Amino acid sequence: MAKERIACQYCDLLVEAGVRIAGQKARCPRCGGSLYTCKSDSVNRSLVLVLAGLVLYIPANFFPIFILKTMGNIRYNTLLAGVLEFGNQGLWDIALLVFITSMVVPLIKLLSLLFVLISVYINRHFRGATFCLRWYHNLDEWGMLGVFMLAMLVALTKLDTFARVYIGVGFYSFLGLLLVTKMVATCLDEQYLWERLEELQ
Amino acid sequence: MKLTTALKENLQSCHVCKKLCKVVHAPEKKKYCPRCGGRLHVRKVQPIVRTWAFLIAAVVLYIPANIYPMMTVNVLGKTKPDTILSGIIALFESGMWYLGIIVLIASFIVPVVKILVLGFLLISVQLNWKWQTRERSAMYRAIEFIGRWSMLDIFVVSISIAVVSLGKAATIYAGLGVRAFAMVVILTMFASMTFDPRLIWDQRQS
Repeated sequence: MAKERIACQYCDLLVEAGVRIAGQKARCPRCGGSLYTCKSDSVNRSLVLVLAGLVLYIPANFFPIFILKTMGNIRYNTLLAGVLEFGNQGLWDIALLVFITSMVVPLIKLLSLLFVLISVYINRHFRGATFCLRWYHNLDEWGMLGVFMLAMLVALTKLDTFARVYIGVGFYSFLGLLLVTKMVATCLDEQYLWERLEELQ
Repeated sequence: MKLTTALKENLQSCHVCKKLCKVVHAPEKKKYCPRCGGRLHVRKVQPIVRTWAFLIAAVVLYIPANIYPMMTVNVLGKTKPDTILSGIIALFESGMWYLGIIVLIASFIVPVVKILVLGFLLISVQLNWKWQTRERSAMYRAIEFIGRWSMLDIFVVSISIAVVSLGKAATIYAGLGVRAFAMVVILTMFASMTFDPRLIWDQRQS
């Protein structure tokens, strides 16, 4: 059997892919870029985490993040409220950008990955599974949950000088969602999924 | 060990699923990866021209992004517009230096470093440099994913304006600087996506 080869995405060097050992990470010998990482039990673990992410998605987006009290006023703040307020103030393009990067892309990524993982889990080829995995890969950079989390902490500290700010359920759910999506990214073996999808076709 | 590249062996690697495919010379046809259906390119399409275009546009928009206010805070009739830099200075002055450092890195250092590094890599490729390939390759990988963190300030504005529309007591308005700065972030993200790091190594081959 001819050894399978892989080209480095960063310098185009052809490297012979060795035997896949779980937990092993391969780096390009020439430029040092990452070639692939083998994960153990990636399908089961990712599937569980994606389901957990979908459960957390709803409270994270629609429950209040902060509860603000000033001069007798109580105000609740959700993720969507910030988007709508940008729209109110005439910056519709920015509203759309925040909406896409903090709400739409994370949801699309979770749903498309769920579709692919179910397909691989039950060993059946679904139409559109390759499309979903391709877009999961392409959208990777546009999901900005981590950046949004840091922004919440910055805003929380800044607003604390204005008024009494309480942390709501949405905040904790968002933190959970962020942790789960990060864990999906560490458990997921994209290369393995591509090979499985190719076999199933 | 003899080093050989995919290009030399007439192979190309799919940008999405990394499958090695044969290069077929048929200029009129668009080529797709047989495994994932993504578009196949030996190298990214016109990487130097496109990356320069995105980079120059980002530099131009960086000027209004720093002149116009990000947000205007209105407390009991007093208005205080804040640009990116004045906002950072205000954070340091009010004793929240830890926030100041975070915002300084995300909104100022990251975009400037990203633009400078991409500009340097483009010039080095255009001048056919053969040295420091490994280091330049590492520089590209370092800036590849940091650009998105500049979105921090825009998200902070988004959260702040929603919380503090309390009617007469205090209001926060988003400024035009948000629009310009968001464009800078997106353009630098596109710039690093259109640049092809394999160009750094191609010079050594020929």
